[in-house]
Order: sequence, then C-alpha cells, then structure tokens
Amino acid sequence: MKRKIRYTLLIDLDKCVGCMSCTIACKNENNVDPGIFWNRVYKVGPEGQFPNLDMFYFPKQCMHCNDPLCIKVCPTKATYKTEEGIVLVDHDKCYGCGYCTWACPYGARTKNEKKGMVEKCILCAHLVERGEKPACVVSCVGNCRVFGDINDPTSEISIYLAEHSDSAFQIHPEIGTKPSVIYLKPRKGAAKLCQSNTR
Amino acid sequence: MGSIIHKPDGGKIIKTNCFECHAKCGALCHVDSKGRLVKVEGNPEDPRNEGRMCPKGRAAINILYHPDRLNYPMKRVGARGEGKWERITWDEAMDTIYTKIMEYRDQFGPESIVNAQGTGRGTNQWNQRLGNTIGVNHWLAPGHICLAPILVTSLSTIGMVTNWEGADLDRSEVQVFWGSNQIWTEQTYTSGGVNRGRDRNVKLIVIDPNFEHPLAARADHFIGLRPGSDSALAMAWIHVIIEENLYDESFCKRWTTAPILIDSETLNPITEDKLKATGKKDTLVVWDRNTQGVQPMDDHHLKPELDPELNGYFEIVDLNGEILKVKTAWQELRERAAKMTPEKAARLCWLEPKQIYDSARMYAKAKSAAISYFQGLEEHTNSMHTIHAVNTLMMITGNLDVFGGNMWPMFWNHMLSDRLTGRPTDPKAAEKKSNPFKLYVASHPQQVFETMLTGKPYPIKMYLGIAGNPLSWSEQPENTKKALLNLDFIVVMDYFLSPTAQLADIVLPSAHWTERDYIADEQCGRWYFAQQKAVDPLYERRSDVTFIRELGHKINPEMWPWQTDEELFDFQLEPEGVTYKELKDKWIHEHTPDVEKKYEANGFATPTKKAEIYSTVFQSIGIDPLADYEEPLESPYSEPEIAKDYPYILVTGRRYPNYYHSQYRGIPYLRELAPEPRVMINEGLAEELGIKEFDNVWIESPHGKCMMKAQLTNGLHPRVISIPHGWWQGCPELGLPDYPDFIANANNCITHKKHDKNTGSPGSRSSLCQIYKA
Repeated sequence: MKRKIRYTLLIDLDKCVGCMSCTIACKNENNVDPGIFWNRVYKVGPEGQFPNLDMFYFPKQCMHCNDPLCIKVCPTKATYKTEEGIVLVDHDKCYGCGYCTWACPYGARTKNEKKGMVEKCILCAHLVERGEKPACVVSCVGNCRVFGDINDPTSEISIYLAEHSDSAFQIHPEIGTKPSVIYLKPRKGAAKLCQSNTR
Repeated sequence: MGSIIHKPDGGKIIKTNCFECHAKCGALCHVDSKGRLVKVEGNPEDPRNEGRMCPKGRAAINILYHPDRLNYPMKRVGARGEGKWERITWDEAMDTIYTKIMEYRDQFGPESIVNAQGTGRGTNQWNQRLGNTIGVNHWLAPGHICLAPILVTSLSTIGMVTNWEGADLDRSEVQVFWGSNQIWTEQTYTSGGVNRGRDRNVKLIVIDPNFEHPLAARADHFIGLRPGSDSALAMAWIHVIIEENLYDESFCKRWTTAPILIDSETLNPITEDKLKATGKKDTLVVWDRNTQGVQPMDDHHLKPELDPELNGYFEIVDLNGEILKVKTAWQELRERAAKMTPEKAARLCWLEPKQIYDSARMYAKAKSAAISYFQGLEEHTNSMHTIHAVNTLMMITGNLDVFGGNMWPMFWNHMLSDRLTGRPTDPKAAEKKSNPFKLYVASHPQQVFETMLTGKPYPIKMYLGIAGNPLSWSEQPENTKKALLNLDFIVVMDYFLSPTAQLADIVLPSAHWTERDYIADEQCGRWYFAQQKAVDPLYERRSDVTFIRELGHKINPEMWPWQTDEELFDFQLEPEGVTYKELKDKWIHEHTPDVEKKYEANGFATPTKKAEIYSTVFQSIGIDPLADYEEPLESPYSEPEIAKDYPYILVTGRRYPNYYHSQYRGIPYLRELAPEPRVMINEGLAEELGIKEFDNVWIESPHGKCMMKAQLTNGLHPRVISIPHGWWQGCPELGLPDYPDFIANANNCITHKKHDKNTGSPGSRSSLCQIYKA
C-alpha cells in the first residue's frame, strides 16, 4: 500500500537568526500585499538582567493543522486541506467573512480588505507540487527550516526530527487542532523562556 | 550547460551574484519569456551561501522595478537642492562632466576634483584609477569607518586581511564573533559555518555590547563589554595566554617577529649592521639559545640549528664596543600584557574577571579557533591598537592561515594593486592628497570636507560621486552639506535621489546589479564569479563601471584603452588566465586552492616575511610597533569631565538584516520589517529617565543630536545606548515618512574632529551621550 504523504515544516529555534529572509522570500514568491504577512519572525526576550539573559527568535506561520478549526467554521468550504496535509484557501469561494481569522488559534490568517478575502501561508504548494521546497525553507539563512514528508522515515525532516526528538514541541497542542509544524527548542540560552511554551 | 539555463517556456535562469552587500551571494535570476525578472533566489552551487539568501537579496526585484529609481541623466534647472530637474542625454552628461573636469584641472590642478564613492563593492579599483587618471586620487570614500583601518593595519602587520571570509568557521573548534554580526550583514560566508557549527556543538564566543546580537544567546560566553574597551579585553586575553603558557611557542619563534631583539628603551629593532661591519642594514637579530649569542633572524626558511629565545633582557656589544641593553619583542609584549590583568580589564570593560579568564582559555586551548571581527572594532578612536591586539591573538596562538583558524584570502593583497588602480598622473599627487593620518591610504574624508570649506591648502571645485551618500555616512552631515554646497559642480550617480544626489548639478542613473555585468571578487573568498546581468538595463540606466570606463577613456585613452566593459574585465582577470567570456560561461572560477599554511612557501606578505607581532612597518613610520591597551579619545575614563554631562556610551550603526547602510527604506517589503529608527535603551535606565516604549527621544552628544523612537531592552548595559544609521528615505507606498534635515541622522552625534591618530577612524561606536524624552 502506498504510504500517505504528509508535508510538514520543522523549525529549529536554535538556528533561527532573526534575519527575516523567510518573510521576504514568502512575500516575493507569493506576491503578498504590503501590510500582510504569511509568515513573520518574532523576537522573544531578551529576558533577565544584562548580561545574564535568554533570547530566541520565533518564526510563525500557518500550522497546517491536521484537524483545523478554520475549516470547521468556513461557511463556503473555501478553506480545505489537501491530501498531503496542506491547508489552503480557494479564493474563488472565499468572500472574506473572516470567521476563520477568529477561529485560528495561531493568528495565522489575515483578511485582505482590498481583495475581500482571507490569506495565509500555503506552504508554497505550487512549488511543492513540482518537487521544490517552500521559498522560506530555501532562503533560510540559519538553515533552521526543514521541510518534507513526515510519514517517510527516510526524509530529511524525519531524520532531523529523530536526531532532536527530545527538544521537539508544538504550539498549544492542547487546543486539539493537531498542528503539523514542529518546533525544536533552542539548545542554549532560552531555557527559562521556553518553560511556558512546552507545558 | 553554461551559466544561463533556457526554459521550455521561453524563460531563462541566469547564474549571477547578488550585490546588495560586499559578499555577493551566488544568485539565480529567473526571467520570464517577456524578459521580465520574476524571481531571485540563492544559487545552491555557490560554495559559500549554498542557496541561502538574505532579505536584501530576496528583494532584488522590488529594487529593480521600484518607481522612484533614477532612470535618466538629469541636470539641475532650479536652485541647488530645489528639486527641479531636466532630462538630458548621456552624451550631454558625459560632455559636460568631461569639460568641467578638464576646465578645473587646467585652471586649479587635478586636486580640485574629488572622485568619490560609497561602499565600492567591486569598483574600488576603477574609482581609484579614475582619480589617478584625473591626476590626484582623492578617493573620497567612507574608508575611515569601513575597511581602511582593518585593511591597512592587517596588511602591514600580518600581510593578510583575514577577519571576514578568512575566519574558517566551518573547521574551527571555537568561533569568536568580536564586534561582528556577519550572520546578518554578510551571511554569504558566515551562515554555513555557523549553522553546521550548531549541529556539531561548536564552542561560541560573542563579544559585543548588544545581547540582541543574533548569536549572543547561543554563545558559551557572551562578553557584553563596554564599547571601545576591546583593546583592554584583547590585552587581558594575551595576558592569560602568556601567563598560562597557552601560546604556540614554536609558531611564535619560527614565524613571527616575537624573538627579535629591540632596544630596551626606544624599542627600536637592533639590526645586524649595528653589530658587525659586514652586517646588513635590513637584517634583524635574535638571541640564539644554541650558540648563546646574537644571530641574524632567519627569513622564512628557518635554519633548524637556530633556536631563538622568546623571553628576556640581554646585553650585547655593538660595532664600537659599546654595550647595548636589549630585550626581545616578546618580552615587551609580555610586559604590556602583564599590566592588563583580567581583574583590571574587567573594571575597564565592565565585565567579571572570570568571563575573561574562561573565554581566553576557551579560545587559546582550542586546536583551532577562528575570530570574525568587523566594524565593532574599527569604528573607534583607538582602532589601530585594537585591531593589532586582536591580530596578535591570532599570531600567538598560531591560528593564522590554518584550517579552522583565520585563513589568508589572497584577494585582498591584490585588490588595489597598481596594475588595476594605475599610478597618479600628477607627479606631485602624493603631497596634494589631503591626509594627516599615517595609516590612511587616500585623502581622509574629513580633511577633504575641510578643504572644500576653507579652500586651503587648495581650492576644490568638483565632486564626482558614484554610489555614495556622504550626507548619510559622514560625521557631522550638516558640515558635509556646507562643504559640498561650497563647490562649483557636483555629479552623483546612484539608484535613488539620495540627499547627496539632491544637491547635484547632474545626476546619473545607476543600473541595478540585475541589469549590469560585473566581476564578483571582493569578499568572495577563493573564487571569482561572473556577476552577469539578468535583464538589459531599464530606461537609460548604466553600469557604474561603464560610466567610469567611458569617462576615463575620454580623459586619458592610454590609461583606459578598453572599448567595452568586457575588455576591462579581461584586463582584471589577465593574471588568472581566464577571459570574462569564459568566466561568464562557467560563472565560478577558483583562484586559490583550499590549502593552509600558504606562508610556508614564501613567508607572510610583510617586509620580514614573518607575522609581525612587532610591526617593522609601524616602527619605520614612527608608530607604536606592538599591541597595547588604548582608551578611546572620548570615554568615561579619558574624558571624565565630559562624561559628567554625557554619562552614556553611544554605539551608532546598529545593523539591520533588511537594509544596507542608507539604502532601501523606500522598498515597501523591506521597510515594513523595520518601519522606523529606534534607539535601544536599557529598560531600567529608561524607567529612571521616564522614557517609555515608542517615545520620541533625543540622543545628544557634545557634538549634536538626533531623534529616534525608544526601544526598551534588557539586552544592553544600563550605560550603553545603541542607534542605527542611514535613515533618510521615506516610503510613500506605506505612508511612512522620510527624515529630512538629518533629524534622525546618527552621525550628528559623532565629532569630525577626533580620530584614531594613525588610522583616522572616528568614534562612531564609542562616543559619550545623554538621552532625554523629546
């Protein structure tokens, strides 16, 4: 039986250097309007007293949940999930009611007022379809992004995850949307900051 | 396959190199069938960036097609700076510029014409050749705050420039980032080594006043030192390394000038001719342990029977039978370092002694350790001693030109060779240069501005600036503006109508890197790349090289015989035995093999062929030959009176990953990532001063002030203030403002009167200031 593909993004927070290359790569790849971000990099910290501090950068985008709330609330079925696990918005069906932007626990969706519809990270599905990687992954200066089929134990992402499984976590899994984006905790300089996120 | 890949749909992918910083990442430019650039990404075939690309490079399309770009040559029709322009042809522009140059040269001499530039990035040699063609190479560039202090100090002492791509991060056991944030500014040759370093748990030391350095939190040692105190820290590291015998004794004896004998009092070197009639004037001497006597220092082929003593005082007899009291250069270094105990350095640097001991040991005990250092060491009024001290660390630990240490990128030894820059055509050019600093290579910018203002010692009439914006980079920009307005004729070639271009009589439209042919050479490590155009120049934009070459040809065709840029590039590449066409076909050309210890063949590129812990070059021109602690000219310790009213230390020039100096605040995608200039202030200090996040704040020094919005952080020492530079441009698409009249110009706070006495660098990163709510 053919194994089902599940595309997943892994972000190693130990390596993110906060350069925002992912943000620009995304915007130019997908022609995202100014003021709207499909991914962004947040700075967490510095926390503590100089010079004994914690800090890390935190890139955030759609979590491509396995059981996403955005799909449940969408009145027009514009939001859907592909067989490979990518959550997309059909812009022919979306009329911008914005319910999904309220439902998403990760704040990953933005209503484009000008276009009258909702936008978000598409994991560069058009590139993935032809065997390429998402633009943010290719561009990443810190090599902190690993992309691939998590169901394939020989994929780069599965191997990377296996090597670092002790530091892997997901954002707010308790909500129950089964986010597919996996983060790795920084191995140094963020122990205190990470406590609240890992439960 | 070649370097242009044709796609079935009529489009193509061009292998080329980004130009948004010096390091020039390999890039792939995707052009559609209509000839429009549609995508720019990193080229995985570049062994340096391996496909990674920073936001500036990724925004190339936005820069290429931006509506505010200069597209045609224009001449001023209103009053200067009024903003009234009339489009002219390139022919008219070239004829006018040529005529003015010849007029001023005949009437006032070649020194009356200033050739200027910004960061250079591949045109340093051609701009200098243009200056030499006119007669006097003023080369008005921001070299005093970038490149020149490091370049001259390093080439003079170790014969190489090793602090950038030379830091062999990938093979090092310990990585040190010292006043250097190259993972943001020049990730090309930094990111691979750092990223793989994270995987192999490499030891990391970050020495920087700012904890928001992207690697600080990952570091084994974050050394958050007082800005400008780096020479104290370096001397304390040397102290620990010598006292604990962590130095590479064999390398110091064989390959450095450490064992040479010097006069105990004057520190002048003892030469063989002083000791015997047949002795040579240029031969230095050492104390040989085997013969228990003085022997000539060997050149790089060390005699195995010679065993030079590193330590000690000696009494030797000269030609006339008189006794000379001498010591080794190492002994002098050791005594200087002895004075800088880690305890003393900790007080000066605002650190704990343990941090200094532990980090010094980590660096010195590693089998190999690489130091990446940059403008955090350079933009101070004590840069020469600081740079020499850090280079000395590389020397005494034997980390020079070895794998995992600081390698020797040969390019820097040839970048400004006479072959490329030509020689000045005015026989009196050397004395007509404006430069009071022994280690500054061209006319010093502030001296040129002073000459423009006063007409002394000679009148300056014309400024010809290519890709440079001194109204952003120079100390005291208001003064610079007055100086430029004093001139009769100003030409500026640029992408955008910068504040400097706004003062011009003629502006010329510069072609973007995606629309011009260049050679990517500078900071490209062991390679040359064909930085070839992806699209033909839009409108009437032209490559800077084309403009320089054609103007040079008009003035002196003998110095510029080349009819095309390609011929010029062929000339540059001649020693490589490769033509520009061949380079374009293969895109990448390796000019230096990946070998270590290249010095074993012919020694180091210094007069002694040794790595000069004791610099014979410095000594010969009356400069202190050894590393030492030196306080910045304006610090709480050197100017305690000023510090009473200006108690904080100001670091200007804090970097962004999405801007390059004063460029690109007008590009919406880049501007929205950092929409306004922010002053970083320690949270506790801000509370004390009643300053809240986003408050408008004046940053004021004894020399001027600028206004920025407050950004509170725990990442800075409570007495350190950090501000960015380069804010002038607005972004109308986002409704974000410009910053006219230097309101947010960091350089208002930096004096143009105090510089390192040898290198001419100002105190851009260690000046005294105060801050208050606006």
